This record gives sequence, C-alpha cells and structure tokens, in this order.
Amino acid sequence: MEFMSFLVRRVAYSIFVLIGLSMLIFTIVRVMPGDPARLALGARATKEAVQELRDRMHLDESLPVQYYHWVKDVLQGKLGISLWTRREVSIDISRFLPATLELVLFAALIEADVRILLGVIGTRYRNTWVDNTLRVGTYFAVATPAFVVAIFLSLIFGYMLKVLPIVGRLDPSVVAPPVRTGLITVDALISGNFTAFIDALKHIIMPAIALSLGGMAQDARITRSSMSDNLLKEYIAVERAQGIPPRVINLKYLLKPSLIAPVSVLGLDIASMLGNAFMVELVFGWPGLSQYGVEAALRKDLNAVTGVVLVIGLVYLTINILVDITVAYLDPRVRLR
Amino acid sequence: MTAEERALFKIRNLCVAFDLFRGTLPVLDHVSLAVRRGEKIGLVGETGCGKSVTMKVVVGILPIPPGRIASGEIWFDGTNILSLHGGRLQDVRGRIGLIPQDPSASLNPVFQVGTQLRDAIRYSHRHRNLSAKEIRRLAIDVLAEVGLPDPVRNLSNYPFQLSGGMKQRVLIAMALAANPELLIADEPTTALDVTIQEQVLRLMREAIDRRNLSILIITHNLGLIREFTDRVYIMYAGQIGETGSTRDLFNRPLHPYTKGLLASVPKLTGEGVPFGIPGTVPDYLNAPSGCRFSPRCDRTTEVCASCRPEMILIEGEHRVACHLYKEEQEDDPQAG
Ligand SMILES: Nc1ncnc2c1ncn2[C@@H]1O[C@H](COP(=O)(O)OP(=O)(O)OP(=O)(O)O)[C@@H](O)[C@H]1O
Ligand code: SF4
Ligand SMILES: [Mg+2]
Repeated sequence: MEFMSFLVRRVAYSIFVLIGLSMLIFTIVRVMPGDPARLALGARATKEAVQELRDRMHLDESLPVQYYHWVKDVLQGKLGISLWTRREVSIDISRFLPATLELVLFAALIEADVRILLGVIGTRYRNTWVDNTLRVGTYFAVATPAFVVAIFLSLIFGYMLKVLPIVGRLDPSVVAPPVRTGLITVDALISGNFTAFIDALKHIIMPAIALSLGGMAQDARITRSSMSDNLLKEYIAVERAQGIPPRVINLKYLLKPSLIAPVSVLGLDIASMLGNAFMVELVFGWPGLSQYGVEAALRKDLNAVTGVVLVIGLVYLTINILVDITVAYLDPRVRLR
Repeated sequence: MTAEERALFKIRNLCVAFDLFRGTLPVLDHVSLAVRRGEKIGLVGETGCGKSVTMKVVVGILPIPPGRIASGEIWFDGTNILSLHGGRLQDVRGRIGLIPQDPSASLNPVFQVGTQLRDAIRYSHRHRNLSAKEIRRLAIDVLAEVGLPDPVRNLSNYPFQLSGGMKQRVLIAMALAANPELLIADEPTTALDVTIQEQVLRLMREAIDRRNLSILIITHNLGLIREFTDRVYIMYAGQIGETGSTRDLFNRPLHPYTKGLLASVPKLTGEGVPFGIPGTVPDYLNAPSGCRFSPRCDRTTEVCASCRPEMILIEGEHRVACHLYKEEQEDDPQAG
C-alpha cells in the first residue's frame, strides 16, 4: 500500500513536470527570432495572408493568453495545425511516433539482454583477460557517439557485405501488415505476416544496435560491478554453505539483487536514446519522431515542436514510472516499506 | 583412545595461506581439532586469529584465490573432505550445517524467507526428490521447531521484515533443515541483543540435544564457552595453543596465552572485557616461525620464536603447545 501512494505521488509529480515542460517549450519557440507565419507561407505570400494566419494562431496576443488558448485545445486532444505539413500535429505524431518507439524499444531490449550477459561473463571471468577485454571494449563503446556507430554499421553490413538493408523500416516489395500498433514487427506478428516480420527485423537491427551501444556498454559495467560486489556478500557464502548449487546461486540469488542498480539507470538510458535517435534516424532514413521534430524546429513550426517535446516528455516520464515499478518488483525493501 | 581417534569430525594439520599482492599470509598453521558425536566444542581466540577462516574451509566457502589450502586433512565420518569433488563432496557438506555470525547480512535481502529455505531443503535432500508440497511441509515444521511464531506467514516475509533474533532463528532452521550431524556456529549470538542471545543459545542447545547433534562453536565470549561447551580449543594467530575439557581449561590453564585470556575476565560475571593481554595479534606477513605468541609472551625463551611447539598431552584430554611443558609419561594414563 505504501507503494501505491508512492506511485500516485510519482504520477502527480510527472504531471507537474509535463505542465512545466509545456510552458517552457511554449515560451522558447515563441521568443525565437523569425515569424512562423511568414516561414510557413513563404516569401511570396501577401502581408494580409500572413497577418490572417497570425490572427488565427493568436500570435499577436500576450504569451499567457496564447498559452490559455493552447491549453484549451490540448485538453480537447488537439495539438494544433502543423504549419509545415498542414495537418493536425497529433495526426503527424501518431504517424511518426511508433517508428521511434519501435526503435527505442528494440534498442532497450538489446541493451538489457546484452548488458546482463556481459555483466555475467565479466563477473564469471572477473580479473582475467576476458573481463579486461570487455572493460576496454566498453570504454570505446561508451566514448563512440551513436551516429558514428550507425555509419560504421551501415558501411560494413549495408554497403560492403550487403546483408542488411540500409534505409527505411520495410522493403517496398514487402506487403505491409495492417496498422494496429504502428510497430511494424508487432503488427506483422499480429497479422501472421512472417515475411514482413523478418524484413522489419532486418531493417531495425542496425539502427537499434547503434542506438543501444553506448548505454549498453556503460550498464554492462554497472551490472558487472554490482554482481561482483554482491558475490562477496555474506548471504551468497551462506547460500553456498547451505548446498544450493552454483548455477542456482548465480542465476537466481546473485542476479536479482544485482539487477537493481542497472535497472535504476535504464530510465536515463532511454532518455539519452530518445535524444540520440535523431542522428540514427537520419543515417538510416528512419521515418521517426526525432526527424520530424528537428524538421519542425528548423521551420519554426510552433505547434509541431511543442507537441513533439510534450510527447517525448510524456514517453520519458512513463518509462521512468515503469522503471520504478520494475525496481520495486526486484527490491521488496522499496515495495513494502 | 584420544578425542581425535573417535571423532565424527577432525581437522588435521590444516595450513591455509592467503596470497596477496603484498605477500603470502600463512594464516592457519597446523591447526588440528576434533569433534566427537554429541559433543559441544568451543573454538576461542581474539579477533583475526583465523577462526572464521577455519569455518570457511570446512563449509567450503573460503575464497580461492586469494585463499589457498596449503596442506592438511579434514575428516568427516571417515572421509577426507578435501579429497572429494562434485556430488560426493556436496553430500558430505550437507551433513555439516552452518550458523553464521551476522543474521542481518546472511539472508538474501530480495527473496522471501521461504524461497531460500525451500531451496536449502530441496538441494540438501536432492536424492529424495521431494515434491513441492513436502518441501513446504518440512519448511514449516523446521520453522516451528526453532520457535518462529506463525511459520506459514513468515515463509512469505522478507528478511528486512524480521527482527535480528528471528533472522537468526530462520538461519538456524535453514541449517537444521538439511538434517546435519555437525553444526558450525561462527559467533552465533554476537550480533544480537543480550536478551535475544540467551533465547537463541537455549534454542540451539535444545535442537542439539533433541537431534543428538555435535557443534563446533566459534566465539570470543568466554562466558558462553563456560556455559555451553564440553571441550575447548584456544587459538592464537592461526595456531592452536591449548585444548582440554572446559572445566580443566578454566580451572588449570597452562598456556601463557590462555592464562592471560582468563585473567582478563572478571571472575564473578564470567563476562566482560576479553583479551586484556598487552600487544596485538602479529602481522601474519612477519609471523615468527615458531610460537606465534612469543612476541607477547612474558615467559618466552630462546627456542620459542624459531621452533614451533608440538601439541603435548598433559592429562586426560588436556593438551598444550608450549615449550614450557614436557610430555610426562605418568601424567598420561590413557596414552598409547
Ligand atoms: N579474504 C581474505 N583475504 C585476505 N586475507 C584474509 C581473508 N580472510 C581472512 N584473511 C586473513 O585471515 C585472518 C583471520 O581472519 P578470520 O576472519 O578467520 O578471523 P577471526 O578469528 O574470525 O576474527 P573475528 O573474531 O574478528 O571474526 C585475517 O586477519 C586476515 O589477515
Ligand atoms: S612457547 Fe614460548 S612463547 Fe610460546 S607460549 Fe610457550 S613460553 Fe610463551
Ligand atoms: Mg570471524
């Protein structure tokens, strides 16, 4: 029950953060130099047309009044019209967001598995050449930006070996599965379209690896040191003395307490993935939200920028709450106290 | 016949070293001790003298490296544990139960008490292929045996929800659940409140009597030794200095270290400041090759530092390793 009230507080806090974030981004895009209406309509549009658009968007009113209008719309589920695509921003976002979510989801899955594996291997062979090689390797991986990895991967596997596709989410020759979740892999599975599933996997594997590598390397270190520390704990020695086999101790009694620290930082990883996603999406022509957001920022597309930032903020906060729940599952001291 | 020959469990000339960066620490130096069936044996010595290292070797949790078993034998019911591997080793180890020192650090914090207890039962009785239901039954029974209130509910509690005394009861239950013949208790009450100490000791004594167990109890609490044990081994810096029945040892201590140890205990209470002997345990790196107590001993002679005193029989089971004493045939009626 303690934990429920903790969760409620977390959600309330997240709502406050979202409100603050919306005010901040709302102000920033409006004080940036340049007239969004003029940018949207082009140099040849008449003064009257520009003024008319400015009026429609309440651009000549004071900031608080503009914000009031915007909030009124948001509460009705409308994020306004994009000045660039001329569509409802929420429609644009619902088109681009799933691609980014799918990418980040795969990156997070790869990261979580590989770093546990590396952490276990590093602990099992701690202070041998295996562990040292992993250590050096992870330093490199941490220090290399995601887009450099992306370029390398696509050069090697895309251009030279030609084993993986270089752009997009699905080959044009493959019949796309009907959209349910927007995550092509999931939709393909739902509709039983295995050709599409495999093709989507082939498309997502390189960008996902590029995106996950930095955080993965860092967390492998955290998992490794957390496991090695716990290995010296009294309770592990006692469990051995009780005759519980090493396999059970390592994969159960040692792994669970050792996951608490690395899972706690997963929220931060995903935040940095959402940030890094832009470059990776650019390299792999991945039609995701980051690309859309950057394009919108360059065009001073007020509603689109505000909408994108808000949605990414929402995703980030949701993921953090999920991380908290996972940590609480792993650590009863958090859950029950 | 001597204690060693009829023993259920005996350690013979065990030498354990730690290979560290700054050098090799020869911590245990020819340690020998024996426990007969039904006996309560104490192992006493000041902090750092190697009591826990001895325990770790026996239950198989010595970290190797840096630890290394240089030589020696550990016999349990006729087999040398140190020569066993795999399943046979696990079988013998299952007959030796450990009661650890610090109950708060000895239970896995993220698992329910019942999870670990059931695994301890499952693997120590693995030849019997118990069903989940039978394992649960055994778990509840053994928690009830150690006097844990409401065993069924406590199975699903986490360690942090239990008091120190309850945690120690759970750990004793885990040790008993394997149906051991020998218990090794490393400072089983040091981490507990004084009132709880009494309860836990009583509980251990009852379990030992009911199940006809033997126990090797490690402590620096001389009051506990006097009250609880039949025989005692006195350890100093990895060497056994003296052994004998608890009564003989308290009435007629022979080794200068034992004398100092007892003199430092206030007579009436049987408790209090232990080890009021001047000086500290020597650094193992520069330990004397002979008697390791020689730097602190007020009776030290020339041979002491260079020549290791052999354990000699004084009377009955009373033995001492000190150059002040010579073996005398007439004091040794049972010899041979
Ligand atoms: N893992 C280890 N690495 C290096 N040296 C060790 C290790 N464990 C024990 N030692 C050495 O062995 C010595 C004896 O340690 P041990 O834990 O057996 O002492 P103890 O008699 O149990 O003391 P206490 O009463 O404080 O529990 C220590 O002083 C230390 O020098
Ligand atoms: S052997 Fe020598 S130094 Fe050691 S206790 Fe006896 S008299 Fe003292
Ligand atoms: Mg100790």
